[in-house]
Amino acid sequence: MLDVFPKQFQSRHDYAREWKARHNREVIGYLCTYAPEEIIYAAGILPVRVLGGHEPQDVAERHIPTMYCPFSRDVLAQGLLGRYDYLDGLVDGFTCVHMRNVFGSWTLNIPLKYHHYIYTPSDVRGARVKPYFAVQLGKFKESLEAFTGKAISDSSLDSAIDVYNRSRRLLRHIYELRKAENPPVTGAECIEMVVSSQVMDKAEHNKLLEAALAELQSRRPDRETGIRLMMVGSEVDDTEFVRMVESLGSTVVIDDHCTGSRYFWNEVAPATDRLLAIASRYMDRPPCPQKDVQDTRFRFEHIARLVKEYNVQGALLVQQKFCTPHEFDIPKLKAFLQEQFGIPSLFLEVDITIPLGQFRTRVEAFLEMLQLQAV
Amino acid sequence: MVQEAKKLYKTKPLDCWGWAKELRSKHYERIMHAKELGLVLSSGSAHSRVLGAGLENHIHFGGEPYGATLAQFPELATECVEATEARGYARDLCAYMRLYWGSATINKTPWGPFPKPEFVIQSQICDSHSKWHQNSSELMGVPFYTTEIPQFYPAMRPPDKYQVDYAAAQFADMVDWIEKTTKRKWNDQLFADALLRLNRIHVLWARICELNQAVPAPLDIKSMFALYWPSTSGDINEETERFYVTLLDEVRDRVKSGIAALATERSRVLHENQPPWYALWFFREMEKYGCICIGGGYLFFLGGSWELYTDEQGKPAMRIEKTIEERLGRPNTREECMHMLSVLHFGRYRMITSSDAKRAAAVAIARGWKVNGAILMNNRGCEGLSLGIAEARVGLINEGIPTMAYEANMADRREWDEAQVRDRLEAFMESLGLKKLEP
Repeated sequence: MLDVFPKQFQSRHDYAREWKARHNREVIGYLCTYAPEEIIYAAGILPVRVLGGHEPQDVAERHIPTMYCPFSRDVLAQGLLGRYDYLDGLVDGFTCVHMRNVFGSWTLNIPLKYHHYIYTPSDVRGARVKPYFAVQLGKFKESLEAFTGKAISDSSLDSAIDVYNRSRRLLRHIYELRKAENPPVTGAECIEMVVSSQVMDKAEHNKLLEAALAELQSRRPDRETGIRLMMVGSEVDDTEFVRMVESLGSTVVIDDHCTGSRYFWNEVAPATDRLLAIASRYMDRPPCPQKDVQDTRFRFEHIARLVKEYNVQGALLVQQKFCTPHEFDIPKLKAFLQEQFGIPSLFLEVDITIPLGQFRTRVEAFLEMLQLQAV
Repeated sequence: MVQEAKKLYKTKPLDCWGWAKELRSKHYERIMHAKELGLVLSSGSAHSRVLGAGLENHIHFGGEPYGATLAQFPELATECVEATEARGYARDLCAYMRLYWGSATINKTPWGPFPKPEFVIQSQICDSHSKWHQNSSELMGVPFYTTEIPQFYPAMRPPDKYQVDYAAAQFADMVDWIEKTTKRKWNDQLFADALLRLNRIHVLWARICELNQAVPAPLDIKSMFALYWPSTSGDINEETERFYVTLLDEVRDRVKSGIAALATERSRVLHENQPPWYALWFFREMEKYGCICIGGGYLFFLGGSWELYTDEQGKPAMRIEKTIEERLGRPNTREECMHMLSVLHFGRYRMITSSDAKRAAAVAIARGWKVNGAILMNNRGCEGLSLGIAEARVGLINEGIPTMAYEANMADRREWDEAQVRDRLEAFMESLGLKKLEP
């Protein structure tokens, strides 16, 4: 059953084209998980996250120099290569300069019927931030209404919130199973569930999640758990890399990245003011480092809770090369994990293609050290 | 191949040159002796210096100009960036920031120990700003307050009212925080004076830049980088304003009398992005070919007040904004002050933080300042200002303007490949049909 998720992800472009033909409705790409998908979904539009292709390319450099993160360049390349030619529009829920660059280049160079930029505040804990973000969401809603020629009703918003909250709840249930001494699901499988949810109609994906949850509740793992790892970092959808890590006597039992728990961890708390409710959800979610900017850091508190609840023994800090937001936090996070929990970490800088052989040696050495520590 | 260096224009040194240098020296002198002088010292990004201007006897230690200055002290700069890297920070992070943190870590500046500020304030216009000073505050053990200026897209249009209101409300909150944290009273009139003065300075700088449209150009970019410093980073006081009034007069006179920055001017280029501060000879090198660099978007916008618009031919163009006082009148309340500050922040920074505006500005400058070519730096030390640089290049190419791009780091000379940059520049000069002139 779990095989369906990687298949869905790999055939995501075919799926989107087929969905579009089936519903005779638009498909809109979004660039970061701070884009409020619920509103797009409430407009009857399929939101799909625009991701890279993990393939060498030579088309992005004319628009984004190599000093920007390889993920951002890969994403733009996918657009320039026509992989997303079915998109009717593009939305950026601002996180960082790298993805803002992608949005700028995409809109300047790839014809689109619709594009919208949402400035997701960086100071998500600021006193005025939720009402401000709600106003932005209102503008976004209006722009979608103008694009489709149809009003987005409160009941459409409620239904979309329901569907998205259901997805989040199901994924949380599945993640709960990873707390077990022998988790019935691997880290790679979890990433596949999350990324496939980012590129599918959530209502359809929820059915797959329900079936997966039912299966996992009775699944007996046919592998040793080994060292319990946490994976923290920027966008990580390279499951081949995670499978390699998990083939070496370890299991990734929890993650904090935007193709993992950060994407779905908290729900929209329904309220009469739907837009404020959605705004609050995005401001309160486990943050990207770029959204943790005050003098009292709160991102590490969330990571600390995960460490304790999932009984983590070691951390893989996996960061896209040149990912500025994570580069700011990693030295502090490394020290925090070591000093507060005695948890060692291994830092790995990734590109769109990963040198598995080299990484394997480093991960093996790290796991050996942890195994000795465990003894 | 060399060609006879026929002098086409008269030239003479700038009278104001020494004054610009003096303003900078005095600024750092006051920062280094802030305590003895009874000054309230804040730190943060340079553009945040106006945020504390409602305090009596306030001075601000701007991180970016300090990084640019420090970059010109090779040994100390290397010691500073290595101290930051030893703490685990990546080498591709903002170079100014790595210099600033390193300088604080080893407690050294070119003039003595690192001047520990009383507090750190920030208005974020780039991703790195708030994270930079979140870490600075932890490193130095001083309080920190951050605000942010929302970015929007396309940046060619003005911001929405709710965006301006949001930023203004944050600034007002920050004033409350400053009063609480420093236990000092905020003076709204003092702040209004500083804000209006800073805006007048920005308008004056834009006027000076506009005069460089003249052929021959009265100013060269290397000198302009020294002349723009007080407007972007210096003290907001009567002397700084007087300096720009005097400089404007001098540059006007140069244009009127046909006094060139480069006596052999035969070709003109623009430069986009920060320069490699430790290798400003780069701009003198092109002058050996009779090529003058007249400035660029970074230089014009950071210290100047401009409006970017689309002209009747559908082409991007630039014009100098009226002063904010002419547009909105004098602010009388704190609310009006903060609203004005917000309007000014949006107006200036949207030009440099968006691909569409960056492309439009490059084309507007190329047309208005009559350039034959453009040089663009992919600045590995500043992702914020390098945003849209490649799109600016595409825009220029589309307009038929020859371009040269080079990769460097504005403040970390370890990423400077002198031989390669020199080769590229020589090839570019030759492609513009220029030959090296006899010395």
